[in-house]
Amino acid sequence: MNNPAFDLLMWARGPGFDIALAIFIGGIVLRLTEIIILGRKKDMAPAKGNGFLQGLKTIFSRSVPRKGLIKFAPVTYLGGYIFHLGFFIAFFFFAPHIALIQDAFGISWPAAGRVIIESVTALAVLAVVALTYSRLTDPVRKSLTTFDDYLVLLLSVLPLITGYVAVNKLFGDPTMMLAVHLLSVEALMIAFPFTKLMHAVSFVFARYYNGSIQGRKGAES
Amino acid sequence: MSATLERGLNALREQIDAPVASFFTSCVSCGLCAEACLFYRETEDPQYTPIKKLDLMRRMWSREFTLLGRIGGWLGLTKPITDADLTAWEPLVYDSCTMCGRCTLVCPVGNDLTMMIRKMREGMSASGHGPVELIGAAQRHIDGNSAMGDLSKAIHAQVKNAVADTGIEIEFDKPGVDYMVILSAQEIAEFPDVLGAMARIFKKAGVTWTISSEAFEATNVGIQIGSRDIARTLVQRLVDAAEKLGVKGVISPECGHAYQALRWEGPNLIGRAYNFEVIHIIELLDQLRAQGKLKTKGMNTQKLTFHDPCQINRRGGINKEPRRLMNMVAENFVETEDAGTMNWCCGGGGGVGANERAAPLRNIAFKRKKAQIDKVNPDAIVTMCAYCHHTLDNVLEEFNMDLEVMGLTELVAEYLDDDA
Ligand code: SF4
Ligand code: SF4
Repeated sequence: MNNPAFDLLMWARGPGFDIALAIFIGGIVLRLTEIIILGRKKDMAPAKGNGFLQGLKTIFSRSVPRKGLIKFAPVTYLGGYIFHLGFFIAFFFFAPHIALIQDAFGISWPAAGRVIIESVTALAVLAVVALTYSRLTDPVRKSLTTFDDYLVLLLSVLPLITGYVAVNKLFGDPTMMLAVHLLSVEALMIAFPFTKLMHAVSFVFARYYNGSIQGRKGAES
Repeated sequence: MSATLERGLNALREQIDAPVASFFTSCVSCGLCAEACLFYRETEDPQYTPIKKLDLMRRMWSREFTLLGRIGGWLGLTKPITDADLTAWEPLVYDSCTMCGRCTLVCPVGNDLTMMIRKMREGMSASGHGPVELIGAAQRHIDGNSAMGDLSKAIHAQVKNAVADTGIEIEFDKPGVDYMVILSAQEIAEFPDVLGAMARIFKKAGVTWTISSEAFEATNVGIQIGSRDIARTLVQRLVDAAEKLGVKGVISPECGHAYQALRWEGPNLIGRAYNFEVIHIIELLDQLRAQGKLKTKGMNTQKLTFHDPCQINRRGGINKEPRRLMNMVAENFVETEDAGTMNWCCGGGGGVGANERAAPLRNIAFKRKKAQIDKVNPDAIVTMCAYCHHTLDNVLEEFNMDLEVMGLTELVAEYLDDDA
């Protein structure tokens, strides 16, 4: 039996995934090492507040926008939230994903219903479209945007689209579409450490540093 | 490569540490920092987006501190920083940033952009870039006793006036007292009433103090221009004077960057903790209030609002103290929108106020502050930084706004209960 779609799926599930995972993890370790190795000097000014605790707090609290700012960049704020939440829900609460995680790590949690998964996926895709549009048209975003930013948007939206197509058997051979879905995830993993996707890990450090610097002074962050 | 360029790049390189690397790694170019910045908000010019002001530093980090960037460099895909680059960035780094700190509180990934501007200025100034006025002020302060020139005679004259006004003795160079008081050049030159105000408040509270004739000036142009060497020299003078007098503490005056310099950067500049505490005058007044040593009588009935100096509140952590004092003496105290941590900068901080080339841009950026004030429509503005005071006085006049500006210490002293 010679089924190229099946072969591709098997490759993507096996060696393909292993290669992507190795680059993903190895790359993240490399990038984090590049950061941490630089160190920072001990602060000799007597502290007024607790920098450590405020650093930890800021990792979470910075997820909430400052009062009154959303109206100045609604597409960036709302698009950003919808994309991140949609991607997160589709990734962690889709039943087949949970099954994979259970296979690999032996842990599982309740899945979200199909309607929810499909709605958040569609919303996340729309959010990426809106974010791309604002990068093309808004003067500030336009002036900041580089190839990296478009690549990141593309790599983030492909797994959503291919997953949606594969699950709903919208077109093409379902086995093939599943293989393509997996490959798109692997492309995301490989690019992750070397593009701005890396923010999804390094933001923890950035927010911690910000909060701890401000917190030592007893200032808000 | 010229020697100055090399010195500048080395200075910049030295500034890149783990926080900086984590910030550049995390930036998603969302542009939200622009919305926080008074210069972008009032001009809507994308070049004033905070992260763009740091682009040279980002380029250096990427080329030299990341594997991919290094490979790109070997392949000739990226270019090293040139003197022309530094010249092009000078107006962005010095004229369009007051180091107000708002962007730092807005960036969703948590980048401390203001701290990076501070760091980038190290590279700029070491390579010979920086506003001439700041370079001149630094020279004057290093050669003499103040950024404004020789203020030795002026301080003695002002002290004499304060003694005549209040009848309270103020002694220079008195060892063993509680506090050494230092003043900003602006206070000595423009707002000397603060001396009499402190004399009266401290007398009532039983606080002993002195002024050092060797080191009485608090401003530190080193942290504005971005020169650790200059900043260290100026901090060291104050530390030497305070330790020689054996005081318990040094009172940092109503001056934003002076507080930042002495309280937060100073120990790191001189490489050790001090043998005395540094306390901001408003922190001290609030402490005295809490201890029942500062009592007032009567209240100001005007509609007063408060302007938070960036380096004292947002970047200095003194937020509630002035409000407690305001409530003691102001019957009709109205806060502006965004007051407190997210207050808008007066536009004069970070050396921008002294920089003539920046004046037109500064006046445009001030419109943000103006809008904030206009909404409240107060009779007067109270603040706790003499340089904010000076800037507000000047721009309000420029905009034909007839508004009084006052220092919080003087306001409190006005209502001091002399009988209590
Ligand atoms: S707000 Fe932060 S993440 Fe967004 S562009 Fe500015 S520095 Fe980058
Ligand atoms: S510190 Fe203030 S003035 Fe400077 S870039 Fe940030 S928001 Fe703008």
